[in-house]
Amino acid sequence: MVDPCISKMRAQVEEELKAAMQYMAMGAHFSKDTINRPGFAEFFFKAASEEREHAIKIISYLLMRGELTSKVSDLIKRNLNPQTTSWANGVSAFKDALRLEASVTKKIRDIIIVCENNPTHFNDYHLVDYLTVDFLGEQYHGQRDIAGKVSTLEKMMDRHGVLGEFLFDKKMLDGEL
Amino acid sequence: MILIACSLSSLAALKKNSAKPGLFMVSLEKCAPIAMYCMAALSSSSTWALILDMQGSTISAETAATVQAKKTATITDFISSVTGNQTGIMKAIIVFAILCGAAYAAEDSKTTLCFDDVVRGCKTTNKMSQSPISCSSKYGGIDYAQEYLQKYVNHHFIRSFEYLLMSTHYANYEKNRPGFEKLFRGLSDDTWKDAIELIQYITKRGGEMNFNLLSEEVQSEELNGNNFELYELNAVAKALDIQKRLAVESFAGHWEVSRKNMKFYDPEISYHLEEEFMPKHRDMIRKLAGYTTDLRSMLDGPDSSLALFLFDEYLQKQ
Repeated sequence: MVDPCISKMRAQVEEELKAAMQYMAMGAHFSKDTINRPGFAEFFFKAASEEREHAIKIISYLLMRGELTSKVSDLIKRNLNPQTTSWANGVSAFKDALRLEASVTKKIRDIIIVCENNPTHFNDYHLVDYLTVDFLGEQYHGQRDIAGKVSTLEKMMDRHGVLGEFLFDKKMLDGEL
Repeated sequence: MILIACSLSSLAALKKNSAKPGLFMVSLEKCAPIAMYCMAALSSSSTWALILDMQGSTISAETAATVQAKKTATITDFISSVTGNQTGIMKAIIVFAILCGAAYAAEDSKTTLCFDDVVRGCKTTNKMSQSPISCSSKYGGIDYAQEYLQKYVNHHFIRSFEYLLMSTHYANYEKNRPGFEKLFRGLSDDTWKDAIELIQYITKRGGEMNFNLLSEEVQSEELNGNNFELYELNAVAKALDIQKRLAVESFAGHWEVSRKNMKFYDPEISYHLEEEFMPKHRDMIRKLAGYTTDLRSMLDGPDSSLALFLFDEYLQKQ
């Protein structure tokens, strides 16, 4: 592996963990008794753990390629606190989640561009393929899933307000959505 | 006049400060400056004479308790009945104590019932009033313990990432120790799961999560700069120290809610800490300490490299 590519991949570990902490904040918000949406909370806590798994996957790939033999202590800093910690309703949280996923997707695409067209002409085919198939694939599936939830939840709240959100949350909790 | 003004102002200050119910010490702090001015005014016997003359009536000492409970009788009548023939300074001290007590009682009865709020909210013929109702799941010492619990969660997240870095170091091709990698990865996963469960616990007790708080000890660590690329024995030693810090911080929380004062005493929180954290920490600390013993003795000889390899193999099977 060669340099601008390596730094981009290393930076992505922190990006994934920042996304994990943002999902954690969403989970914490919907767990509150004054908000009380356990379905949303469970979805967001699971998403947080999944983002952490993505970070671990990136680390594993770098290790497989023989990287991370130095400066491991700089890989993850302590500044991973989430930006937003409260949302007006479920729809705004899911829209935020969609935006978060889209930003992570954009960053992965940036890594792909850097690793394909770097100055020393080392086109890192395998990494690009891995990122494209595994990572981008999972991102796009995740985005499609959240976008669908946003649409359905918006329609339900449009006519039925809080009752719509209540039913949607319970369906999510039961795994029907 | 002065007395009424003093008492009203001190009660007002205490009511304003009762945003955090249960902080008796804080309310006493607020009592002090206001009561000082009152005591200065009241210490002169001439002021007393003036007040008593204005009232012109006395109430027997027995009704003192009922007056305090009702909060309707004039405070001056009450004071003259209790203090009677005392000197000016003694009267001032008694006044101070009574004012603080009355204000504390007032603050105490401020914790409204959910039912009352609901009845009030539903009284209007329009839709339910938008004023907040106190129907939260808060009870016991959660308000007092919340900040500690939030800091404890953030401590867990930090350690989870630190263990992940240690695991990463042992997984690179130069160290190549899958056993140590598995050990630290397990610690990282455990602290991550514990953090999530603790967030769910805080919200279950009616609190909320704040991701920006940290305890003093953990915050001061950052200044030294941490190194996670360590030799095997060093890494296990560091893990042991980290686990002890996590364990001892749970004791601090246990102490916070064990003060024998109904506002802070919360055996449910202490039970949760006892059940969910203390045995787990105890066992892991014992395990890690055992590993350091083994490593220390095995590394102290000609077979150290082989010993590390075999120990790593052993860790893979754990």
